[in-house]
Amino acid sequence: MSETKKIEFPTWLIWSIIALALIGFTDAAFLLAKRLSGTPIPCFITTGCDEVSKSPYSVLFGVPLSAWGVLFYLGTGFLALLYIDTKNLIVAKLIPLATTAGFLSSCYFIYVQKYLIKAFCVYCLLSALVATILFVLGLIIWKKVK
Amino acid sequence: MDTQKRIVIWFSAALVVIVAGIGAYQVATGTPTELPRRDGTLSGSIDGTDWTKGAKEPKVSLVEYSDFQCPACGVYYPLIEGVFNEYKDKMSFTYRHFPLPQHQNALAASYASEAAGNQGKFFEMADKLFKNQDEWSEIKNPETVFERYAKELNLDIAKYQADVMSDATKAAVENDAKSGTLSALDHTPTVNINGKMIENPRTKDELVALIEYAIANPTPKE
Repeated sequence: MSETKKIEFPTWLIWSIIALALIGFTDAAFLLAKRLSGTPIPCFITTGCDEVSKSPYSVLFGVPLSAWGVLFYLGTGFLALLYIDTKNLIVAKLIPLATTAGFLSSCYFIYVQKYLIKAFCVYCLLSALVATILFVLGLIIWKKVK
Repeated sequence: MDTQKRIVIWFSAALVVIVAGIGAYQVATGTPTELPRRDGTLSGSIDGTDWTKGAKEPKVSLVEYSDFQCPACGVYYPLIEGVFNEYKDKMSFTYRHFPLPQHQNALAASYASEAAGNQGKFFEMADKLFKNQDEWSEIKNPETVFERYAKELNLDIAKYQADVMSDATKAAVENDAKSGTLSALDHTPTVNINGKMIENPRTKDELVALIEYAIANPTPKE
C-alpha cells in the first residue's frame, strides 16, 4: 500500500473553514428548526423570509433545503477537521469539491429568490455569503494541492 | 497527531456542533421576538389592556400614541376630541403612552393617568393633563399638581397614590411605549387608523376626511 502524500496548509486557512462551516451550520439549523416548528421567521434587512422558506423551491427530493444545508456545512467542517487530524491529501482535495458544490448551489438559490420567488430571505443570503467565502478558501486549497 | 489530541479535537468539535445546534433550535422555537415594523402597521392589536372609548364595534379604530407633555399632542388633543365627539358611534379612540425622553414630567403624567384610569377616569385625567400642560410641564414636582387633579376628579386619593407608584402602572406604560417602538414610532403624536399609521392631519377637516374614508373603505380584518 503506497503512503498517501501529506501537505501542509496555513493554520488560519483550515480553521477559517471550520469557523465558517460552524456559522453556516447554525444558520441552516436555525432555518430547519423554524421549518419544522412552523413558527414565523424574524425577518430583517429583507422582507421575504417566510415566503422563501415556504416556497415550492425550498425542497429537494422531498427534503427541505435547510436540512441539506445542515448536512453540507457539517460535511465541510468535518472534512476540514479530518484534514487537521490526518493531513491526508485526498481529504484536502475533497474540501474544494464540497465548497464548489456549495457555492454553485448558493448561486442557484439566489437566482431562485431574485427571479422566481421575487423575495429575499436574509438567512439564505447569509448562507450564500458564507458559502462564497468557503468557495474562495477552497480555491486556495485547490491551488496548493494541484 | 497523538491519540489524546485527536480525541480532544473531535470531542470538542462534536460538543461545539451540538451546542450550536441546540442553541439554534432554542432560538428558533423560543418566544417569538418581534422586530420593529417598518411598514406603518400597528404592533399589538387593541385589547382589554388599552384605554379605549367610543363605539364597541367601531367601523374606525383610531389609536394615538401620545405624550402628555408634548406641546404638539396638546394642540392635537382638542382636534381629535372634537372629531371623536361627532363620530363616537362609529369610531373608537384608543390612547397609548409614548412618553418622549426629553419630557421630564411625561412619565409621571402617564402614571397619573393610569392611576385615574384604574378608577374609571382615564380620559377625564388625560383631558386635565392636556388642557393644563403649562401648569405642570416645567415644574419640579408635578406629582402634587396631578394629585390635585385627582381630587378634582373625586378619586379615592389613597388608592390613587398607591396606583401611581405601583409596578403594574409602570408596566402598563412601558408596555404601550414598547408597542410604539415595535411599530417603529419616533414622534408624538402618532395616529393610527384601522391599524395603519397616518400622516398627522393638520386640520379638523383633514381628520374628518380620513375618518369618513375609513368608514367607507373598511380594511379587512387581519
